Amino acid sequence: MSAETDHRPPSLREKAEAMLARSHRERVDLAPVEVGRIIHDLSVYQLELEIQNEELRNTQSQLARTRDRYARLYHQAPVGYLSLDANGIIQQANQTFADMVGRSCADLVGQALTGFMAGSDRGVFLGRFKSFFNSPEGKRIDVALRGNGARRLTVRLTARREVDAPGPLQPDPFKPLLLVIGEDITERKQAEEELQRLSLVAAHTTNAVFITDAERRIEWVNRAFTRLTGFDLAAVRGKTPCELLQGAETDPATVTAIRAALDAGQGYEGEILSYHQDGCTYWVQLFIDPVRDADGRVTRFIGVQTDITARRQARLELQEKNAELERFIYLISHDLKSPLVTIKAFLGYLEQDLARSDAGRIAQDMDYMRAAADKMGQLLEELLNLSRVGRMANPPTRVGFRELVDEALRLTAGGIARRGVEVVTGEATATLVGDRSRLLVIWQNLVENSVKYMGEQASPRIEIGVERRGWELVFFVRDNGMGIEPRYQEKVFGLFEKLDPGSEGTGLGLALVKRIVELYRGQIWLESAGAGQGTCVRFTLPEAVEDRSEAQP
Amino acid sequence: MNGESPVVLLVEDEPAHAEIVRRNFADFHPASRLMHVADGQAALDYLYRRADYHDPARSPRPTLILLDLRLPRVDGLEVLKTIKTDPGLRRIPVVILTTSAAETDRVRAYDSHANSYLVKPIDFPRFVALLEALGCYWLTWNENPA
Repeated sequence: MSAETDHRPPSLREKAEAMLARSHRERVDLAPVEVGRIIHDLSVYQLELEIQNEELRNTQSQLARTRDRYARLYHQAPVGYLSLDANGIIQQANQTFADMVGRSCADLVGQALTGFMAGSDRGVFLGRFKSFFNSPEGKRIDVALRGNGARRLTVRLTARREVDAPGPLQPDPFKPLLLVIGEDITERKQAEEELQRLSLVAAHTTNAVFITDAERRIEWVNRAFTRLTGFDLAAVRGKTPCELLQGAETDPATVTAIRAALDAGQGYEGEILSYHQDGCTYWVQLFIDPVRDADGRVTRFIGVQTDITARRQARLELQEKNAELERFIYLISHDLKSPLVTIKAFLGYLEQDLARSDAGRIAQDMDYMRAAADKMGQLLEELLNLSRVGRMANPPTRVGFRELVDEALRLTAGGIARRGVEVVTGEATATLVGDRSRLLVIWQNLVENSVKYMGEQASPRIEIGVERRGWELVFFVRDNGMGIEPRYQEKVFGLFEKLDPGSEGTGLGLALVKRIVELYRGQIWLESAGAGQGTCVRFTLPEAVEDRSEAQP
Repeated sequence: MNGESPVVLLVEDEPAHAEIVRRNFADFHPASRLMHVADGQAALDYLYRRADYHDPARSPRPTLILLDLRLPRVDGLEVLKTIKTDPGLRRIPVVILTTSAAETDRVRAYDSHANSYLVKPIDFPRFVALLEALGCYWLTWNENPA
C-alpha cells in the first residue's frame, strides 16, 4: 500500500475490515509468485480506484459550483421570485424579494404573502388568487407592498406553475406550487401617474397646446386649441402652426423672430396676432419650447397659446386712458393757470388805474377779470361733468329717441330762439336703453355746438335724425353753419380743443359727448366739406340701442 | 437797428393776455409796433402774406415773434417748426411765451430751434418785469442778421 492510502477516511477502512470479517471468507495460502501477481493487480485496481475517486470529486465540486451559480442567479435576479402554495403561503423567496419587503429570505418562508400587503389590496389579491394560481398565464396583479419602514412599493406579480419541484418545506413532490415573479414598478407607476396627470393637464387646460415634430409639423393639439383656433386635430396634423394661424396682419418681424429662435433650437415667448379658421383675428401669448432627446437633438416642439385679446385690449385702453389723463392734467394746469394770470395782471392794472382814476381803464380791467373768473367757473363745472360721466351711473331706463331730442331742444330753446334756428327732426325713430341724463347730454351738447358755430348763416337750420346703415343705427345732428376744415375734424374731439379762439367754450363739450358715446361702445365722427359748408356729426350707440333688428335694412 | 420801428408779432389766443402784452409794450417800448394774431393759422397767413394778410402793408416782416404754444387750429409748435425750417423766416427770433412750464414743452421748443422760452408768471409785478426785460433784450440789445 502506498502512503496515499492513509488519506482515505479511516471509517471507510474500518467499515471495509468489518465487512471482511463478517464475510467469513477462507484464508487462502498462495505461492510467492501468485502473491506478487496479485499485489500487482491490486496496485492497478488501487490506482484505477483513485483515478475514479478523483473524477468523482471533480464532478462533485463542479456540481456544487453549478448549484451555487444557480442560487446566485436566483437570489440576485433583478426581480423578486416567490414560490407560493395554493394558500398563498411563501415556500421560498429570493433575496431580491426579501429586500423589497425588508426581511431575510428565511423569515419569509411560511408567511402569507398578503401579510406584506396594504389592507385594501389584500381583499383584491385574495379574490383573484385562486384563478391566478390555477392558470397564471397572461395574468398580472399589481399590489402595494409595505417595504422597509414607511416605504410603500408597487409590485407587479406575474407567475407560472411550478410542478414536480419540491422545495425545502415541500415533502410532497406532487403538491403544486406557483412561481411568482414580483417586479418593483413603483417608479414606473409614479412616472405613469405623472404622465397621466400631465396629459390630463394638456388635454383639459384652457391654454391651447400643440406638439410638433422637429420639422414643426403638428402631431397633436388639445381641445382648447380647437376651441381657440377652430381647427381640430384631423385638420391640422402634418401642417405647421405658421401656415395655419398666421395671416396678413400678423407682424412679419414676430414671425421672423420665432423662426430664428426655433432654428437655433431655442424657445420663444411673445405676443402674436393669430387667425381663427373663420378668419377672425385674436391675440395670443405664445410659448414654444424645444424638446430634446438624450443626445441633445431637438425632436419636438411644444407650443402653448393663451388668448390675451381681452387682456391686450384692456391694456391698450388703459394706456390710452393714462395718456389721456396725463394730457388732461397738463391741459388743466394750463387752462386753469391762464385765467389766473389774467386776474392777477388786471388786478395789478386796476390798482394803478384806480390811483389815476382812469374810469375807462377801470371798467376794461374789471371786464377782463370777470371774463377770466367766469372762464374758470365754467371750466370747473364742465370738468365736474366730465368726471361724472365716468363715475355716476343712473340705472338704465328705456327712452325713446324722439323724447330725448325733444328734451334736448327744450334745454337749448333759448339759444335756438336767439339765433332764429329752424330745427328739423326726421320721421325715423328708435328706442334706447341707458342712463337717460347721460344720453341727453349728447344731443344737448351737439345742438348747443351747432347753434354756437352757426357763423354768418342767414337761414340757420339744424337737422336731427337717425338712419340705418347696414346693421347699425347711425344718429346724426346736421347744421348749415360755419363748418370745419377736414384737417381739424379729428382734433375737435380732444380735450380743451377749440377751433375758434373767439368762442366762449372751454373745449370740453365734444370731448364729453365722445366719452358718453364710447361708454356705449359707439363711435363718433364728423362730416364737413370745409369752412362755411356746415357740419354733420354722426355717432352710433350699439350698447344703448334696444333692438338691433331695427337696424336691419 | 436801422431806425425803422421794430415790429413784434404776438401770436396769442387769449385776448386778456394779448392785452397785457400790448399795455406793457405801449408803456416800455413805445417805438415798437405790436401786431397781434389769435391762432397758429393766422400767424402763418401773416408770415406768408396769405388770406387776410396778403397786403404787405398789413403784414410787415417782424423783428421778433412772441409765440404761445397752445393755439387753436395750428398749434404753436407747428408754427415754430414751419418758421425754423423756412430759409426765408428761420432767422427771425422766436420767443416762446406760454403758461406751460412742462419739461416736454421746453424740450420740444428748443429742439425746434426756439430762441428763448419764457413762462408767463402768475405774479403781476414779475410778469411786468419779464415783459419789460424781454423787449429791452430783444429789441434793444439783440442784433438780428440783416
